[in-house]
Amino acid sequence: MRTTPPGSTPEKQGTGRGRAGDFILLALLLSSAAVHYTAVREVYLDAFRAMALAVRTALFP
Amino acid sequence: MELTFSILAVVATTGLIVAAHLLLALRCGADRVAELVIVTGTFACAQIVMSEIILGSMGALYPGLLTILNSVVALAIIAASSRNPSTPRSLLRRGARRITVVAGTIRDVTSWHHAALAFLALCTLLWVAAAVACLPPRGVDDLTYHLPPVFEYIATHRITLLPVELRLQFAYPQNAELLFLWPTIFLHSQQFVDGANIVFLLFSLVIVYGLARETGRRVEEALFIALLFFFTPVLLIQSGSNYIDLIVATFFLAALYCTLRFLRTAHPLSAHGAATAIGLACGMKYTMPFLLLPLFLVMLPPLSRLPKRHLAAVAASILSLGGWWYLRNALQLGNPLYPMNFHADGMGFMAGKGEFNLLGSLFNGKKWAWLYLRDIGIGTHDGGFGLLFWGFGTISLIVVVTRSLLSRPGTEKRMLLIWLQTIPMIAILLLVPENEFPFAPRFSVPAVAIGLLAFGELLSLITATRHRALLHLACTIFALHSVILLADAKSPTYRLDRVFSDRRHGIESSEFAYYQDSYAALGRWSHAWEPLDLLTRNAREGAACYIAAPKGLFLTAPLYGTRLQNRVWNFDPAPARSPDAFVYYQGGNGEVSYLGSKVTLDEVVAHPGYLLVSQSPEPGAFLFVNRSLLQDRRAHDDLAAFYQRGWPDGIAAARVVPSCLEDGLPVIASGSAGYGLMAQKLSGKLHNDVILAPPGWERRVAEARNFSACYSIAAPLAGYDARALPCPGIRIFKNTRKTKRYGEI
Repeated sequence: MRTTPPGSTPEKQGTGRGRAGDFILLALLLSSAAVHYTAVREVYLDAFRAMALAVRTALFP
Repeated sequence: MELTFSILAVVATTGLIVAAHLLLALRCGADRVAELVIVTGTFACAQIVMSEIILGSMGALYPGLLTILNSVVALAIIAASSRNPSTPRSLLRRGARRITVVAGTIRDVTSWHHAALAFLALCTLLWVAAAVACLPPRGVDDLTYHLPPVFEYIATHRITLLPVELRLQFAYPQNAELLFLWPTIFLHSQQFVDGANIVFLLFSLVIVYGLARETGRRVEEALFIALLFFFTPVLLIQSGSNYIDLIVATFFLAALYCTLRFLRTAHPLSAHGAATAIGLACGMKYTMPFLLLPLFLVMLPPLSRLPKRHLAAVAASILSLGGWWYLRNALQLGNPLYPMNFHADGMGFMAGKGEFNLLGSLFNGKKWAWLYLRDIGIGTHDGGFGLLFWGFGTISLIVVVTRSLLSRPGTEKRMLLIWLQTIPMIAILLLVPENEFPFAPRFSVPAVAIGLLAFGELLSLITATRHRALLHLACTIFALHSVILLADAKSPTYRLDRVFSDRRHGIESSEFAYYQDSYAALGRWSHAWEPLDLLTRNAREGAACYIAAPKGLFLTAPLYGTRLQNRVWNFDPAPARSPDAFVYYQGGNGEVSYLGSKVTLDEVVAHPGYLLVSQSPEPGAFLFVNRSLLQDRRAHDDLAAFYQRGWPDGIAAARVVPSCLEDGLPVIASGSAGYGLMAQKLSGKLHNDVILAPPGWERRVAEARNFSACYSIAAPLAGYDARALPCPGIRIFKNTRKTKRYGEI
């Protein structure tokens, strides 16, 4: 079953790109995510706390 | 029964429209399933919007006429699409075959991360759907300017311009609002109006899937990217509201998809799909003509090589779908882009000083820091692109743009058309003045889709399965973070704990009661909106409601009631009768602004024909109604239940009052005890007339009604001779007017 549109070349994936390329991309992506997450984590942690409280209140009113 | 019929009518009519455009797209040779769905959805929305504009401008906006007009058009399209050699059955069989093939492929290629995201998305959809069904429309812009025109058009059967002196935004183009109007006019209820965005959220996923396929992603990768887009925080939070950014982003992306398809295939269907999406989007937001004109220009060279009728049809689609609002504004307000003014600071549509230094705006470090380090607006309907975009999308965009620029002309170069859309998208955001900036990230939502498409490209470059799995896991965790944000959202709230609690205890009230869980001002307003709805929702004829409030809190949508039974008296240019109800909101500094006739709070307090029904505990909202609204037995019961739920202490305290009163004099009361007495009165246990007064206004109420004697609660009336009555647990005074003695001045 063809799952790629015309013009795309999935076959080239996995060839000619070594582990170094993977690590560079991974490092870029994960470091960017880490920087952003560190900066905004409080917003998400507050939301997790609110959710936990809501669930606790619902289960043990 | 009536609701069931309405649901059937809207489902059947929408189904017929969709079927017609599906056949048309198949007949015209839609090549891919994504294209089939995108073009069909876009054409169907266009038909709906056009039919509403035509009937609305004629003053004939009735559900019956909408059904007839759309059915006739749909049947004509079906007939035209079914000419030989294709029959509807053969076309549908062809479409079904393709969908089956794609569904089979998706089933074959999906793995744990797809399943995890799909499960999370399903749970989230259930949460949002429950909020839509149980909570009222509660986005602040929904209540101020997105929904009032929708409700007014339904009430008057005509598309009119609401007073721009109240809201400049009433002059904004309203194609998106007309999509909210579609189910609402059939159901004649506010209950599901905030559910329309869910449909467009799902539609946008198909478009992102299609775009991902156009950028060369495999089915499983495209599916993954589309699922990630679902978890954009601002989209999730807007999905249960009537903010229009989600719909605008959907049609922007549809236009982008169809343009790309047209550039690749030169198929006229794609050009018409792009034109329809461009026209719809331009008729939704003033920024869209500026953002979508480049796409139209890109299409022009290949379009000019097609027969001329296609170019004419494309131009006609854009102008007819987008132009109506601009034409109306030009004729009625003298400015097609009213209130935008390119010569004014802030361009006239944003408070504060505008920044027209494009380069200065693009390199404004403070705004970039707000975006990247704070994801400004997160947790609200104003912003929040999420961890997936800022964590993975932005860096991916930088990489893929660099790759595209360095590549030889070809497919990758053409992808620049997608990647570079982020520049104007982010530019319009950075141009917003700093004081308005926290409310503006939602304008640039399509940038999130483009960032995620770039992330998809980077993901496809990673060769090792375990590295991809690591990123898939990170994405799933980030998606969960986006969902959790709903738990803490205030604007709008998605909290359902009070709903569940009420259901458990068998409490039935107006859904407006749940405004209490929103931010403070809506909580205060609910003290007027909830009882107003309770008093009018079963009435044969709704109420004409007068409103006065500070401009920022002049929220009119809830006045129409959950069943759209009421009218806003101030919007009627020539009201035939006096208002049936008055609602006021007094700000902390007493600020109130008026629209149309000025009737002050003092005048209503003093008017014997109107009674105070409820006010918020702190100074804020007041509801006064004409006595006639209190005649209905069911309204009595609902109002008594409202008092019992809200003021149990007052109910308990007032229980002894009937036995303490000596005669049938009226009782003037305020606060909790007053509501308790009202409950006693409404349930027939107290025969004295009870008149509620705002605290401190008791004497004014007594004097205005010329009472020579009356009871008061908690304190005697100044200017009256007062005697305390023996009554356990509550202080009651019998007040008798001091009479002037002969010769006294």
